[in-house]
Amino acid sequence: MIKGQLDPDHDVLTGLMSGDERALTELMSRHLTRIHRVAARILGDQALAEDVAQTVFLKTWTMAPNWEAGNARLLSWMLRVTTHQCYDMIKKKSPIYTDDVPEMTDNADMADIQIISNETSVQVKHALNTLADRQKTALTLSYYEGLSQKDGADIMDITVGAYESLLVRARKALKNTLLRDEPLIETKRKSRS
Amino acid sequence: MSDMKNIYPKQNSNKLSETQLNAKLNTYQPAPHSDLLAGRILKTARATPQDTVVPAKTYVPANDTRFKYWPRIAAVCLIAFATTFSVMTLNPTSIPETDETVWQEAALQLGLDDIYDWVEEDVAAN
Repeated sequence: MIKGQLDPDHDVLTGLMSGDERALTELMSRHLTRIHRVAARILGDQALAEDVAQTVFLKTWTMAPNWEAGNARLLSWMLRVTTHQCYDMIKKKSPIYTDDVPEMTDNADMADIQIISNETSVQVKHALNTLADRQKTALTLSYYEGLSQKDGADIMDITVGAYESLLVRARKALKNTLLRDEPLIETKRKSRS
Repeated sequence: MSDMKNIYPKQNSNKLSETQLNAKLNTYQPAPHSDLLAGRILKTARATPQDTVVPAKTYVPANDTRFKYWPRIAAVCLIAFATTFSVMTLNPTSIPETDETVWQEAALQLGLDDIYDWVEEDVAAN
């Protein structure tokens, strides 16, 4: 954070530091969705992402009294804890399989465009899960969350150059995976029609 | 050949452009979290006392990678030290002939030629 720049969450920080539950509620209303979304994209698992989000907010709650303003933005710190929690979760767990993807039905009432969109979504989810954890994190922070490369690099504790490299490799790998999987989807579509 | 065309449709022969990739990425949105999650966090927070010992800025996440290269650096230093030590032990630096002459002349000038000869003989004997 640039010196002198005010943390957008400074108003809730005071409440958090004094143990005010209303401040925690306000913080959750601001960032819970985002933290969960980032975790869900990195882990590819909704339930685990909820566990990570809970851990992040509890860490924020317990650490709040010792928070020193001016070192980092609260949200950046929370996103950093989120990514580390996700990595810990991946290390502890065996590989995460994406069996929870919704079954694609042959419902004739469903519009074709919806079917194609669902198939692509599943394909993208699969492709994202094949990426290395750090590539997936960089892509999530940068593309999906719209963070600047500097903010993303700060959260991942790497240089901007290394972050850019992760992004380039992630996009390249995604393209390869999506192109490789495309024939299977096409064949499926044709066999259905 | 027509079967091959079915297996590898036209799109596959082209590269995926950045715009196409973005369009595909946009189709994937993770499901929202449970409505009960916020309540669950609040309930757990009530039962969790706030920390007063560890300053937030010194918190190092469990997966911090800043120090992961230290073992490698230490190993390289150890190997470099061992190599240098071995090389220096096996190839001790000998005094060049010219240095011996200089020392001999200096000893002669100072009137210490007897001592010099005695030392040299002693060294040669060993």
